[in-house]
Amino acid sequence: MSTEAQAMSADWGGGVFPYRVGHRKLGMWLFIVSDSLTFSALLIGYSYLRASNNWPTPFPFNPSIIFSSVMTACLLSSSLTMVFGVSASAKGNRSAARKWIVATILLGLAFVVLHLFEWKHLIDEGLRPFFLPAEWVERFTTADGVPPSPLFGGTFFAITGMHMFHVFTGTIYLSVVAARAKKLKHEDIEISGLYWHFVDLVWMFVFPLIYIMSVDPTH
Amino acid sequence: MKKEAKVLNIICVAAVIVLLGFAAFNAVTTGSFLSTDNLFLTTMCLMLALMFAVNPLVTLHAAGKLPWPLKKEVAVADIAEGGSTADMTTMDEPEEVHFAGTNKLFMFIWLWLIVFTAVEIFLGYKPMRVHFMLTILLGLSVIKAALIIAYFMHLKFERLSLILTLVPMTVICIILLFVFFPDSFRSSELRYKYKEPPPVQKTETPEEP
Repeated sequence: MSTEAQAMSADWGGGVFPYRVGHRKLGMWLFIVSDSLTFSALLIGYSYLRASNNWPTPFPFNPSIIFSSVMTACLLSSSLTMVFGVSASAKGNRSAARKWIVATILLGLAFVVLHLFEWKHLIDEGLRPFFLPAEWVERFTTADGVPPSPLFGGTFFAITGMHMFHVFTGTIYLSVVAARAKKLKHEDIEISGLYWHFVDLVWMFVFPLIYIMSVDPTH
Repeated sequence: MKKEAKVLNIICVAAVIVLLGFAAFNAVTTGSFLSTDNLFLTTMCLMLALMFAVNPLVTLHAAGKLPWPLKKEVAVADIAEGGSTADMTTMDEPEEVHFAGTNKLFMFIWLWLIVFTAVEIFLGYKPMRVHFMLTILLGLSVIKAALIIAYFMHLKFERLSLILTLVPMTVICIILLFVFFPDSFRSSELRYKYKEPPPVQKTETPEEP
């Protein structure tokens, strides 16, 4: 048998894990792929609406862009602490892994809290899922008389809310992993890391498309 | 070759022939080939044919009937690796834990992610056309996503087969969703625009003779 055939049957000849990963990890990868398709559908639906409607661009630098930038930094740093945690676990140091995972949870909770503050700013201004604040309607109606789409609220709350739900659920998942860090296998800690990085990944797309594309350059 | 492998190969080759035949039939019988529908259909047929062709091609390659210089080096490395991960032959949890990547590398990646984010925020305030802004933002986001997936999620250090199973499919599915955008542009042109005052009810005053 040629070396290629040997390599192939070593991988696919049976008796080994497909792709050389365990079933739990493969399951998490497949879940991540399916969830990323869900978020893609949401974001592309949002993009469709933006392309076909007059869309308001109301986010002022203070507080919206400042808050959302700090949130992005929080989430990126939480990904870093998570990767440190998984690395520590790989080296066998479970207590260090636990500390890094707790840091990840704290940064994730900071994200959620800041995001809820952001929501409060917008809701106080009068934004609702199907209504815009009167001031925005006035400001963003075009010279032709086309009013801005009230779907801004719906898409904003739906997409960021869905993401926030993932972050919050992720913090609960990570708390369980941190609490049981010494009893779990390394693979399970790695798997929780995969989920957390996925949550960060989604934000990498949500932030530019929802926040940066709706920046108010005059404020 | 085992019987099942033979049957699988026959099915795959039959599928390739049917798909290519359908694509050709469509190309010949259609009025205008260069329409969105036709191009879409042709692309889908070709893509599916390619997917079905993978198994027969790999079988031919394993039998040595297909020259592919690059694959040889990977295979040699695989064999060397295959020996060391012998514990993978049992269905238990693999004891050998390999986690490639130093903390320094991860910090470096994190730094680049922060830099790209700062660039995006900065660009948000630069006046430019929407298409330009969107392309740059999405381009940067894809790079950030690729960095996270490859290094933080560790996919770069996994088997190539896993990467090839997960990534192309997801990318293609997401790109398929883009098929809706021409409709959004059509829809935006349909919007009723006030070019003159809205029509007013005519009053019933009689005219002077």
